[in-house]
Amino acid sequence: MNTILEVENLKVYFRTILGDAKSVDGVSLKVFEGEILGIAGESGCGKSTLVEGILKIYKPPCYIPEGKVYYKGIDLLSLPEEEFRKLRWKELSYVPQGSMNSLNPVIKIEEQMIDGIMSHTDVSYHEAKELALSALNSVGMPPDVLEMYPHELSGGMRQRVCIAMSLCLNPKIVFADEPITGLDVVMQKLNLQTLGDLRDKYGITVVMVAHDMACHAEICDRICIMYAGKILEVGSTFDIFSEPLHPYTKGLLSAVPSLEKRSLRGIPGLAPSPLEWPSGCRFHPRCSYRMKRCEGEEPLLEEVQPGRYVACFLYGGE
Amino acid sequence: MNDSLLTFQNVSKVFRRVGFGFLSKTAVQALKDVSFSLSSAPEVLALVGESGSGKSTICRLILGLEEPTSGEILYRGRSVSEWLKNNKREYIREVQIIFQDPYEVYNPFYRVDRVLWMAIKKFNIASGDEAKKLIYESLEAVGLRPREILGRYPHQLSGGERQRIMLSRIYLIKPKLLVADEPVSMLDASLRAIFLDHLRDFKNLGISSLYITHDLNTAYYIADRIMIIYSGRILERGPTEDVIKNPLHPYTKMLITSIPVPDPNKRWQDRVVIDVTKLQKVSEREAVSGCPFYNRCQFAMDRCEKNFPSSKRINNQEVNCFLYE
Repeated sequence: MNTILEVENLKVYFRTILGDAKSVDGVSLKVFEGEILGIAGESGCGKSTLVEGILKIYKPPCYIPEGKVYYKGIDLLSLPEEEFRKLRWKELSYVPQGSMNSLNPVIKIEEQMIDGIMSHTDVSYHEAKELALSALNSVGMPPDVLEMYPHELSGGMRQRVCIAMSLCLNPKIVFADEPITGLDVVMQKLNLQTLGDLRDKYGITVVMVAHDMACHAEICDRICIMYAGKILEVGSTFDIFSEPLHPYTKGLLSAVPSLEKRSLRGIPGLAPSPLEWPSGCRFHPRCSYRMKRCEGEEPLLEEVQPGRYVACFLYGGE
Repeated sequence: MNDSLLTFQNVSKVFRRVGFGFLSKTAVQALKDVSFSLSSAPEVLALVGESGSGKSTICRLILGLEEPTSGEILYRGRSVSEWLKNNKREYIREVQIIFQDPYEVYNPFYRVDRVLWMAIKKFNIASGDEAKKLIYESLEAVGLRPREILGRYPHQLSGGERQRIMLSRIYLIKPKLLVADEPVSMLDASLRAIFLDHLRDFKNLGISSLYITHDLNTAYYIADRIMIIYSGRILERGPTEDVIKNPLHPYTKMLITSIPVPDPNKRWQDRVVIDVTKLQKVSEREAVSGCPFYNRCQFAMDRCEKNFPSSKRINNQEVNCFLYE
């Protein structure tokens, strides 16, 4: 498998009057070509900020103190903004969180899609419309959607328009941030399957950020578990679900409600604040397997089986 | 029906709205002929439906924020409007709510203690030291440490803590009926379970809950009975285990098969097929006299379009569908 995107020790901080909020604090990960990678974690763990950091679409007071992002060998973060802009949409595209509510209500879908296309490439209006149509077609939407206003579509359909918009210029990677949050279950299923199609039919690499573990189980090939700005575990979906290693992953999975079993167990304690992460292993205040050394030393993300990484002293983590 | 705590009798609610552009009047039928009751023995009844199904209208009707267009809502044998006219304080003490958004319910200028103190003051629950003791006790009952919570401002607490303070407020007031409107949809998975456990424990205090949600998973976890509502109509109801394991209505079946299972070995085998032409124009969705699910139902028959089936009892469940007539 070819690595299409590589993130090395990326840090994304927010300047605040109380000091830096270290939302993403040293994340390294690889995205392989043609896979669906899920990034899971609870709110505030930095999963959206990570994507914003990779795509360099953050605004002050957010900044990147250190870290590298390589896309096909190109160092993205050191690219001048003009150069990076040429890659966005054409190579790396993004479906932001809540994007279904970001369409302008008084402008037809056609104009909004074409506006996006024409501002990123040099095509005529007619060509742009062709591109928009083929993008809509690839998410299974009829062409007359172009003539509609956003309010004429339901939330799930608007979300699919947004996925279509991200596909207009045939990107290689699509980042989808919480693509199904706030939709009805049937629409969730439809949109998840649409995302799956992007890879299955068009070979697009998909990075999906979602808090709901059940959606990850449904379409992802691999999952990264994030907590407190760090990645705690990476592995194939099957491995993570059949044998979660990190205590946090175990807790997260037993907290997922399901119609299969009528039991549910939460993780006691509260998520820490990015202004002051706990010392040592960041999960130690809530961990039931905690040892003395977890308080002072921070375990590193280590490969414990081929393709399986975990940051926990229970499995080495030296 | 005298032993029921809350009864909806053929309640309908129509919101009328005067059109802006063409001065056309449009009416939205939010609820149509809804009947159900909560027994006086404590239970958790889940009302499950997607957005726009009328769940929140039911919630507003119970709280007396809206009047039903037709039909009656009885609380302990008397209509809600009568309660609000004659015994308002008693009614609001006995019927309490937890809202979805734990961020909006607090006044950011006051410490969080205030929501608890106000409850004590308004309802004359206790005074002085005893009140303080009660507050401590109620916070501990929902797994919070009073020392860490009292004296803080809302912005210093997480969503989960704020929502649990709302729970402790319920513990303090000890209402007879708790309406919980999507209380966990803004909480993280790890906290959701803890919150739901406390909610379920309220049953032992004699509190019945109406748990309103879009999430069948959590309803399955805590509810004794489930009602499925779609577009203002209740389509199916019954004991939780029966409804989930043996759904009768095609809509319930569709919901259950659409929920992702957190197990990669049990991925969806089928695909959603949606006739896009039927779904496109949300604004053109009209009030239908027949079954509201008609447009999306794969078993739709001619009579489903014009008539709404009466409720049919099958074992413990009740279903409104012509397939079972």
